Amino acid sequence: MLIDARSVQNERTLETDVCIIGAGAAGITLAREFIDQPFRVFLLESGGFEFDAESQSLYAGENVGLPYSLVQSRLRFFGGATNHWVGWCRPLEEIDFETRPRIPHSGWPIRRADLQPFYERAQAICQLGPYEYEPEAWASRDSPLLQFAGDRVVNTVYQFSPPTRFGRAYRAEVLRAGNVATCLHGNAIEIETTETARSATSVRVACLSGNQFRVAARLVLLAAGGIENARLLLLSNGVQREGIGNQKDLVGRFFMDHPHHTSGVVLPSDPALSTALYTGSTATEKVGAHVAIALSARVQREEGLGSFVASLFPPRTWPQVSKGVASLDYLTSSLREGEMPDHFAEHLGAVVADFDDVARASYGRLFGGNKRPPSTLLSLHGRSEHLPNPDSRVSLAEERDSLGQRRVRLDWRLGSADKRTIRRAHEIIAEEMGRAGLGRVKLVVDEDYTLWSQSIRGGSHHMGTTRMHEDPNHGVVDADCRVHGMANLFVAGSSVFPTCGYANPTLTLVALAVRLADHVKKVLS
Amino acid sequence: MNAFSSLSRRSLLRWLLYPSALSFFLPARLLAERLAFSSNDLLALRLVRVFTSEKSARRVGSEYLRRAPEEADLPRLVDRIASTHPQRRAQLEQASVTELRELLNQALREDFALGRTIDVSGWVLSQTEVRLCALAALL
Ligand SMILES: Cc1cc2nc3c(=O)[nH]c(=O)nc-3n(C[C@H](O)[C@H](O)[C@H](O)COP(=O)(O)OP(=O)(O)OC[C@H]3O[C@@H](n4cnc5c(N)ncnc54)[C@H](O)[C@@H]3O)c2cc1C
Repeated sequence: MLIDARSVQNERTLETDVCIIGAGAAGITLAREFIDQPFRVFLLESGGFEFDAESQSLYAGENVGLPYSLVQSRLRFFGGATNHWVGWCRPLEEIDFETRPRIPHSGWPIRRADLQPFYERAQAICQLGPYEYEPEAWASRDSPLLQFAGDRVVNTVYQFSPPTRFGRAYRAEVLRAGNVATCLHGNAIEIETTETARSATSVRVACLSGNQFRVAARLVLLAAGGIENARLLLLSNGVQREGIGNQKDLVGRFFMDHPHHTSGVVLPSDPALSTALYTGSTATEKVGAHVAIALSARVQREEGLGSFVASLFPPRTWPQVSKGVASLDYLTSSLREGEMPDHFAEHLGAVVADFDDVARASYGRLFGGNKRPPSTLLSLHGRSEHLPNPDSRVSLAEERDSLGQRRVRLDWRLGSADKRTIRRAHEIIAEEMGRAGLGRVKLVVDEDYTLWSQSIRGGSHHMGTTRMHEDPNHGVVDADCRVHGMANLFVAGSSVFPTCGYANPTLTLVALAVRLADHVKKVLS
Repeated sequence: MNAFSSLSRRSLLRWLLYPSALSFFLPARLLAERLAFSSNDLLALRLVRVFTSEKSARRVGSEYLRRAPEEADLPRLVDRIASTHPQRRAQLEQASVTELRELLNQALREDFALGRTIDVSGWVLSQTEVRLCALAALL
């Protein structure tokens, strides 16, 4: 069933059993899981089926931290940010769930094993291939894995979703469902509670056309995205002045995104080195896979580092965003064109080839002699875990949007531990590439981080603002994603991640949404 | 005064690098001994022979020495290369060119495994390979 919120009578109260706020990856997954269940579902979405600038403008806000676009990193219509996501997927690692003594605020109240069955279900929802993340399973004679000598770095596999546009892929199914009402163009502006603020009673909805109404629900599931989830809890201050779930001043804190950086150049020892698995996606059973190089759990534990992954790409694959990257681009592009800046890398290539047996043999085989062929360079593109930091946060700005609601203020911050992880991870990868005779690495991550901080950008992965913890003193939601102190208010999405590993978040947030759906079914049965 | 007295030690050493030139005279080792070169000079000579492109090695080495001028000291460089392992000097002195390459390859791997790296123009290189290049630049 489809409802246009703009046509709902002003101040009317609609009734349902479960109100889901937001129809992105999390909200649509929840709604689909509830199809044909013996309860009524109201799926409330701010936008329509297509992009429209007026709804999108509700996402504008104030940015006071590292460069970040609050508008471009989200989409406010049916399907949410999956209308333009890229589709990189993999589960988090076991270590990401652990309490790591040297990483403050680390540790989930659930283990990776607890999520395993839900990951498998999420895999199908994201239209991925077999649930297979062992790198060996993706390798073949023509596309071999890089062999590292030690266990400080490991190969890691991503799979690519088509990418699933949740809004388009699942719209018909959701609209057909007899027990699900999909309501478009309706903005949740407040979650209303009982006077004791122990349970949610209704969701207040406002339309850009001016009408307002309420949706009274037995359960409220907040799935408005990693920034908006926090904003809506903070805006819901009718009873609790500091906002719902915010007695400990945790809502909006610990905002995380994966810092992305083009951070180095790799000169393979062997120009014939096969990097097919690494430099693109390999079509196997119509599913794309990409292998990247990650820090091992052992080295993370030993050195107290966060997690980190780096991909190898042909130069210029990634958008160029800064002076640091531009100089890297100059280096790589001029190398491709055969006019090396001062020929340094070319000379280095000849030197390296003298020592690496495979490379020397390959020159002989390929070029019938010792002369080194023109260098092929790869660029190293890193993504690191953003370590939990209470000062990296989402809060409310003074300015108001066209619905009269305070806009969001984002202060994305990285700390010294993040910088250490990034720098050290690059050094370790460079050392392990050399040790394995695979090549040499030039680092663009400079000692004082100047170039690094210029070239860094977020991945549009909004995490941590309603973090999960058993103890209400340290988290906003419990292990069931229920807001501490609230009987019937749950949060879905990556805002519940207490730590974020290096993996892109969507597969994990969909797995958590499936898990939450199972929990809700139990609660309502 | 012998025929080589006007040549600097360095240019003489460089000259000794070229086997074709040597073949007119005495075997390099004998010649070097007659000219009273030190064991470090002789080892330096052996070491830089691993480079198929000496020009490239010199280019990398010069870049390093530009940033670390205190390393522009041939005996010290040889000592450092030869002291990464207790038996390394003896091994390096006795190895054939193929064995030498293998030994140096091993040394490189050890350097990377132990984090003994040097930054040359942003490139993370093994101490041994950089010092070998520096030797080539000094000779
Ligand atoms: C360019 C880009 C590339 C990306 N690539 C990847 C990738 O490769 N891999 C990966 O894992 N992730 C990627 N992501 C992130 C991914 O898109 C998100 O993780 C995912 O969409 C989050 O799902 P969600 O349902 O929690 O939130 P969203 O997708 O943001 O959905 C939230 C929904 O709630 C609605 N809404 C918001 N506020 C209200 C309100 N007050 N009332 C009613 N409705 C509301 C919105 O309109 C929206 O439809 C990418 C993101 C971007 C922007």
